[in-house]
Amino acid sequence: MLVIKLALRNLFRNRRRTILSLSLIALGTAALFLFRGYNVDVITAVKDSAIERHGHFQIATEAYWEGGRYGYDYLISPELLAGVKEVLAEEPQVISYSTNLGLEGLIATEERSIPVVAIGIQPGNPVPDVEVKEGRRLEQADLEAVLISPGLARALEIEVGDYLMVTARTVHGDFKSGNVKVAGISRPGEIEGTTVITPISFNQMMRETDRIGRIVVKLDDHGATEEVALRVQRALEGNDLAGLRVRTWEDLAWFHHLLALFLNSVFGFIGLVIFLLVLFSVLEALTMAFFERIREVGTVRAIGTRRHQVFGMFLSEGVLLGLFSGLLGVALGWGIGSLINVAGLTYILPIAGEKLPFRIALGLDVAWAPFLVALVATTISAIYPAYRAAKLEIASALRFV
Amino acid sequence: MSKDFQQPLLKIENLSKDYSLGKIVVHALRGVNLEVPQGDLLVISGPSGSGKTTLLNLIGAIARPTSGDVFLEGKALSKLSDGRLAELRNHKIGFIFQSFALIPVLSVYENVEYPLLLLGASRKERQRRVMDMLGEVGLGELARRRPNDLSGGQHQRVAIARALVTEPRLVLADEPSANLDSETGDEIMKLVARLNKEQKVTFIVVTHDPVVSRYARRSVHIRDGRLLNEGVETRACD
Repeated sequence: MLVIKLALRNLFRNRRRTILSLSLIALGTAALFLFRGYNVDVITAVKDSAIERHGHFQIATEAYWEGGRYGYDYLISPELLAGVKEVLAEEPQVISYSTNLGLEGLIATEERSIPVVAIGIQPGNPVPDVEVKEGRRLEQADLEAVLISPGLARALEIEVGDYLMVTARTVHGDFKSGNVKVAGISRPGEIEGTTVITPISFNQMMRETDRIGRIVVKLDDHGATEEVALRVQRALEGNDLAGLRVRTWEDLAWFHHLLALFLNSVFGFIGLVIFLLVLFSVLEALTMAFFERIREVGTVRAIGTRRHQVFGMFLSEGVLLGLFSGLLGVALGWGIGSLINVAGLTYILPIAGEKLPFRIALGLDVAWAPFLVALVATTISAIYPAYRAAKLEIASALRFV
Repeated sequence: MSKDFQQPLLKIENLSKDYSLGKIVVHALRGVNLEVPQGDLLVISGPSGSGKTTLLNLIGAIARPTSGDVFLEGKALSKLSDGRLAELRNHKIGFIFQSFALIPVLSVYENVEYPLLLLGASRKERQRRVMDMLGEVGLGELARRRPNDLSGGQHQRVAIARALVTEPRLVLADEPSANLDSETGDEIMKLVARLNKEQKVTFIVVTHDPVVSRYARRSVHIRDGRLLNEGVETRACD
């Protein structure tokens, strides 16, 4: 208590200097908070989008995941699918699942054709949940309909309601054609350029098979993904479905990882710059405080204060400065972040091509890192003056002018 | 000779201290021998640079001698660790400095309380002892004030209260009246003499002011790092 009391009083002894240090650290902390809040918001949005697209996890054969497949043996038979359904029925956290069957082929108008991958989904099933900007989503009644991206719509010069011809190989190796009606055009970024969404029944008809490629599973909790996926994998292996493998959205959403890595690296760099800025400015302030108090250190040592207590006094000043400024910085960042969110600012990301909301994620999961940067930087800054104060020879300190 | 003087509290044997100033070695103390009995009020006088503050620092265990030793209650200070010396200074030695050396961020009460906090005294015990000591030096009313609001004489009274609050065996005063006007300095030395007489606390006062010697039970003179009349002059200060 003595150490803390003295540290607290000494901290506000030179108010101007302390307020300057406090402001500098608080501003740095607030800047870090805002940047991290933006990062978390973007990464969370991309994660949610990835889960919308991929589900929480998918089940397919090993050959499907490994690629380089030959023929169509990798497809899941109705019997295997029935076994998977039984396994999934045992999982209370599974809220929905849908079957997919991909189809590689050409999609064409009378004027031009483009190679595409048609992802066959169960219409009406929320997995994957594709947002449309024109037209509508696929519905259960749709047998020969398609959702396309805005880019593909531009390339083919088509609109909602137009018909397209799809040509692909059947599982027997023959070519087959069929017509689909454009039900909707997705929002930018929802569907990749040369991918289209079709009903799975259309793809099965085109493939001339009753098999499917993969099962997309959605859970009621993002956090349960790893745990449920592992349990399902074990259950599959215990139910003579050993050839099937589970892949989580994190295994599949490489873009999410790259983006998170990039944003976290930028945060790390900015954090390091602010850390060094705080470190050296606080080091200077505390070193000045040390020189001003050399005689005082001599006095308290003469009275009986031990070296480690003197070290504790100076170190506590750094820790308290870090605590106060860190909390102030987080409060400031939180306040500015709230204002930004209320203001409803938007920005245009080139890959999205449309206005996106500029939002700052607020919460303790955002606050801890900027706060820790402030606390650690000020604590480290205090170590050198604290060490010098503790090492002072009493008689020399008392003579110091 | 009073009964109080029969038990030697402090014994100094062949004490020397050298300082190095670059290639020059300064012999601040040269083989000093001295015995101080319990209850003494010893004044060590001498001109600036004579070695009196160095001697006081060595007695107070805030510096280490080059050779020789200081024995406090029979314990050789050179044998004690840094931590044990800190404990000794807290428990058994009080310091009064020329420049008062109060902690400006603490109130009068807190300055006097500080050594008791180090000692681990209870809150109640601290309160009792601090208020008693402040009453003893006539500053009971100023307990809440900060040092900046005090006069020079009041500063030194607080320093005396701080030095005595742990009930030490020995109080070392380095030029206690040097930064005060002669009247206030006189008052401070009267206070020191009274506390020495009433509380039987042993005082060693170093000074260059010959007037201070008036209050001594014994006085010795130091010049060029040597005591000129080691323990020979004894006077009653009553």
